[in-house]
Amino acid sequence: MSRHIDEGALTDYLDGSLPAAQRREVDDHLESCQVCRAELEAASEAKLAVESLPVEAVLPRDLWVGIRERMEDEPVEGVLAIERARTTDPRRVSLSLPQLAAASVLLMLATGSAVLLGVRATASPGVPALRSFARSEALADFQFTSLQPVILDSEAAAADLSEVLEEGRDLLDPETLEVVEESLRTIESAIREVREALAADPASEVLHQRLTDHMRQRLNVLRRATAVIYSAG
Amino acid sequence: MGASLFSVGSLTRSGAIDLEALVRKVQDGDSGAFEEVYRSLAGRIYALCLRMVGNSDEAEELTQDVFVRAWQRIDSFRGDSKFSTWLHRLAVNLVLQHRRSRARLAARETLVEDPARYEQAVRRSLPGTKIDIERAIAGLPSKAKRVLILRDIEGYKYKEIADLTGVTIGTVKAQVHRARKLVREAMER
Repeated sequence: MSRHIDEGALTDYLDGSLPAAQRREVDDHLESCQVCRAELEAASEAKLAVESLPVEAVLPRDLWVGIRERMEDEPVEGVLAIERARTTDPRRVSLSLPQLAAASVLLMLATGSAVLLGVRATASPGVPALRSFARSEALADFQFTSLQPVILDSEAAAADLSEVLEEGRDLLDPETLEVVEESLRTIESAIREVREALAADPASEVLHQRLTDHMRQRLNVLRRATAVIYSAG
Repeated sequence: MGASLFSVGSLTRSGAIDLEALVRKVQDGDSGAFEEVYRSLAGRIYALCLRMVGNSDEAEELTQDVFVRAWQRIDSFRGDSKFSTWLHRLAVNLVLQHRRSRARLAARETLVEDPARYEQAVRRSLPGTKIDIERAIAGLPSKAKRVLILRDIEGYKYKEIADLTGVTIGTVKAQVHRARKLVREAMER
């Protein structure tokens, strides 16, 4: 071993990560080297002291309001690529995720109510109405976890939202529309594959779960896209 | 809280908040769930920012940046790691970027502008901490400080720190060792 133990080896020694052979060398060296012993002792004391510090702080003030405001102002990066939507065309809109979420929830609640009442949901002028139903975000997670009726509901809701998307596609920025349609194609393909697999193994819980997951993904994409359309309509 | 309607579904059997479930709700567009995520993790993120930048105002700003950025990128979280780990990594990256840009502007080694004010902020936000150790860390050169915080407080592996800071593992280990020695010297003063 060289005159003194190098810093990296001392650090590994202290952390207990030095290989056994090297560790024995360091032990031998430490027995005879006061300088390295002092180095090790100092590093060890500091390490213990620093490791004992708390990792969680009390915030001097609630930052949530500021964060929420910025969430509304700054675009989300995601499947809809909303940040790429052009703002020069007033009919083509760019919304942040909270705005989309709010619009989606309102849309879902409105259409859900329509189902309960057995009436046709109303829509803004120039924007297609939904014929059957879709569900609120609050219910979606629970209801998409199992059962065939839910799948049928999801199919109906997706069909309605697809129709809205088709009729309102001109209201979306072309790049956004492209991303939406590409996402939907991918999801539809996955749904087809799972259905084929289910035909061979209809009792598979894993496949059923995958199917509901893909359907939920499809609904999420459709919800966000149609929320943009409704907001522009 | 806006997410109260959904909160039952985000609790584990022990009553603790199930962050991963909350994040899935956020990914489904539930901004109320994101507030719960913020409330669960803001203290941890603020502590990191406060120590790394040594300034409470900037730490608040950075904490906000972290959560806004997380919101913007929430769809990119695939669940390969815990969400808290993903968010923490995002925070470290933002803090390091911030330090680099600020260091370029200020061209100085340490970013603690007003030690007395910083100490006051630490006492307020980290009650029960050891002020002499905090002071020693705050006075470290910036590179030594960042590796020491990431290693000995935040528990990052040397390889992770090397990846985050763009230096070799050997350099990180040497920096950690020097930082520990400096803290020890400061403790003796």
